[in-house]
Amino acid sequence: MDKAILIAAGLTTALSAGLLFGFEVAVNRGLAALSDREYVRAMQSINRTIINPAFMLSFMGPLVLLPLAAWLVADARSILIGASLLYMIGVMGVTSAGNVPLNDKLSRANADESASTARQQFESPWNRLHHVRTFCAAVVVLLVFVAAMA
Amino acid sequence: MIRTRTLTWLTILLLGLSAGVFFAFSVAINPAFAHLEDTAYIVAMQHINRDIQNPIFFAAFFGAAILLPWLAVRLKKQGNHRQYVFMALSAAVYIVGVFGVTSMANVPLNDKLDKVVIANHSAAELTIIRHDYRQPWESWHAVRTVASVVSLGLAAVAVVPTTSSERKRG
Repeated sequence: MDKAILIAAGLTTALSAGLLFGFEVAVNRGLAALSDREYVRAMQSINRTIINPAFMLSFMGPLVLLPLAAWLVADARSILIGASLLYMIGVMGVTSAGNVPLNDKLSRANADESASTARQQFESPWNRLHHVRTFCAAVVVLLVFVAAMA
Repeated sequence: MIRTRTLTWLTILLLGLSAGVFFAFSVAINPAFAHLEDTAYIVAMQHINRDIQNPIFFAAFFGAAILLPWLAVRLKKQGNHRQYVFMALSAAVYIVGVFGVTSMANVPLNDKLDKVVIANHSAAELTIIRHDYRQPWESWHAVRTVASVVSLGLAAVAVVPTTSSERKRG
């Protein structure tokens, strides 16, 4: 049972890290090449479509599974507590306190009228926050690996 | 000699990362990009296809394709028949459904799209170029995303111990 939970925690964490990573190395750079109007439209659309059960399950999964694994796997408890906290703060915390408010603000922008201002206020802070959460998610994956070796 | 446990975890985490990248396109990028205009769509996909070719993505994408069969062979040698069967299935699904589909279908489409110079085409031509790329690319993308998740599931079933002797081996 403890091993199954650790595996489930590892899988959801890796999926979620992979998703963030896909934006980090490819999607954000592709979007950077767009005109202001197209950038705003694309981001608005991404932020709407990403709210779906499959994404929510992988993104929220580690929030439950990492602490559960920390509780069950005595050999690696402290590492898994660290992984839980880092995911909670560095991935979920940064997303809800940083990226989501920016997304909400962008969702109200009119791509045909004020795309340039909307993009200026959104793109670089959002990308910076995205670097932070991708890095944290990668470290959490590494911590799960270390915990599994304990 | 790398320990089986190390090899196992390295494999499933790389597989998870690789699946996560495909998953991002299926749940967010592809549906969102449907709303882009033709030029914007083509430019964005050209950039994405160039930038994704980086060492970290390749480590996950190729790493899983190499480590899965390696791990399956290791499990067979150790006489873990149940675990071997599931891991071999996981490897087969990944190699055919993710690696095979990517190299036989998505990459040729990407290569063709990469050669498109926006300024050399009329708006009507760009609509056709986008359509001819997007339809097959997204269908094949759906196949590889499903395959990567199935492969992930099979690998998880393979490594979760179900008998006391499997549990003892850790």
